[in-house]
Amino acid sequence: MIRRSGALASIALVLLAWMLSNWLELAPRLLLPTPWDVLGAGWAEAKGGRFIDDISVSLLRLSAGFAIGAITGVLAGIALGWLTLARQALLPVVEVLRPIPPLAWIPLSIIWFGIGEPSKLFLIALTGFFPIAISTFRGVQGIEPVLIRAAQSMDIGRWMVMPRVILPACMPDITTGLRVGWTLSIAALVGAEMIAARSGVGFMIMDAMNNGRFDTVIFGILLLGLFSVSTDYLFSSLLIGRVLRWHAGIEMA
Amino acid sequence: MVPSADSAVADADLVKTRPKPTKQSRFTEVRGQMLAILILCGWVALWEALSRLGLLNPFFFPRPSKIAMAAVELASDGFPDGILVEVHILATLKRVVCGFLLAAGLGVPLGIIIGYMPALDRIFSNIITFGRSIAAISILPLFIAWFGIGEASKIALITFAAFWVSITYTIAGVKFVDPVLLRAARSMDCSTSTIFWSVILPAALPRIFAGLKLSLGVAFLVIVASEMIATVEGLGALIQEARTSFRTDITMLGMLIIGVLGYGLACLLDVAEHRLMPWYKSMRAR
Repeated sequence: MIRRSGALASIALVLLAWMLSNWLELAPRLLLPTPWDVLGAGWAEAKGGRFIDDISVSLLRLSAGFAIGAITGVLAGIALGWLTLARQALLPVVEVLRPIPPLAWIPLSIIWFGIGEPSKLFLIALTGFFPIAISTFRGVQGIEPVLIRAAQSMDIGRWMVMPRVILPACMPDITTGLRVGWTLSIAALVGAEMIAARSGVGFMIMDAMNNGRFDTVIFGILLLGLFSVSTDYLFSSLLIGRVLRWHAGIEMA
Repeated sequence: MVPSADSAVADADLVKTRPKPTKQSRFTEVRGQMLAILILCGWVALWEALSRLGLLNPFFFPRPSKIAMAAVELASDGFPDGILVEVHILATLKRVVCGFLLAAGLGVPLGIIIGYMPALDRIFSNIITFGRSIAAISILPLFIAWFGIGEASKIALITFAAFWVSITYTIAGVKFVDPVLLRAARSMDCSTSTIFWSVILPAALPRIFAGLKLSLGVAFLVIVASEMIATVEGLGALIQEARTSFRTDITMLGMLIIGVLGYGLACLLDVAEHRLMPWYKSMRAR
């Protein structure tokens, strides 16, 4: 409950500061619209036909791309951690590619996949891939050997070690990676849509800028921020609360 | 279970505090690195061989020797329109360093104040969580309108993006000082200012540094993207221009330079961390 009143207080604080800068006319109203202008722009967008399309296109790109990145990332992380040959052959490559920021892949993804949907999916999947693969890899490496020996001494069989011991044991690391990857994927989605797209919320922002509609720009920014915050909240309360409840030593928030 | 500013920090700790799986001697470590470099060379040689055999499309995967030639071209003739490679690198570096320093200069002191006063923390924690969740690149149009299309809007964008990360970690660092340390200091009758300067601040430094490292990464992420919109100088502009001129070799080379630069800057912060906190064994998250 204290949290909730804190949230209200901070919203009030931001609104107050915003309206104060409007009142002081720090910038012309065109460049710094009032909160009501932004709400009005949001209403206008919602009534226009494109808005639903933009949102659904963005959501589709994000979920498909992230799903690809998450699945390949977890598989790659387990392979890197479990198979010595894969680790020796591929870890150096991963280490070289990892410092390259995701959005720096935009030009190359356009070269490889053209300007259509595949290049966006590739970019978002790639953005999620690295943090998820790396933290899964760390998780697998950090598993107590005792766990595996105990399972083996109980005759678990070579192939059942994976789903019964290794995957559950590195679940905390995988969820950490998924959470980080999700936030980064949203940023990649927006960047890709702003730099090279004709649809989506990122394009909506860019289009509004080109038309001088900064109320719509701010509406888009806030919309994306709200989406990021609320999905992260859902993620941490659902996944971390439910999936990892049994895990000792996990303290979230 | 509300994800606040703290939970992201707790996540980072979760990964970092895992014990290293095996203790390696210095010798095996060096040998492992040599092996890694050898294997990388092997992949590059394979790539070269496959493209010479005509198995790789030269437009999608220009051969490594061509990328090396592009490096010579970039250093002598420049691209695009004779802009030399060092001009691009310096332009990007200048923006990143200015934005990062501004963000650290604002975020760390403010974070110390907020972390020290629980009342402020309650008021601002939601705002900071929200600020951190905004995709920084989406602010660029607004900053271009406010600060013009030149350097100011880019530096402002980097500052914005890096600020939230550095303030989050600083607050957590100050807030989560081991209570035993505080009780010990109080039991020795230390004054408030002594406790602050000699206990809280040193104890918070590791987290502050973790935040600075992360915010440098964020700064890098943001600058490359913002340079792809409305700029000709800078590494982001370089790879984007190369793409529009169908020069895949220069695009790949530019990405490589970006990666090396980012890695180099991160190493620099590691050195600084080690100098400032020799007692704290740098737990590099790798």
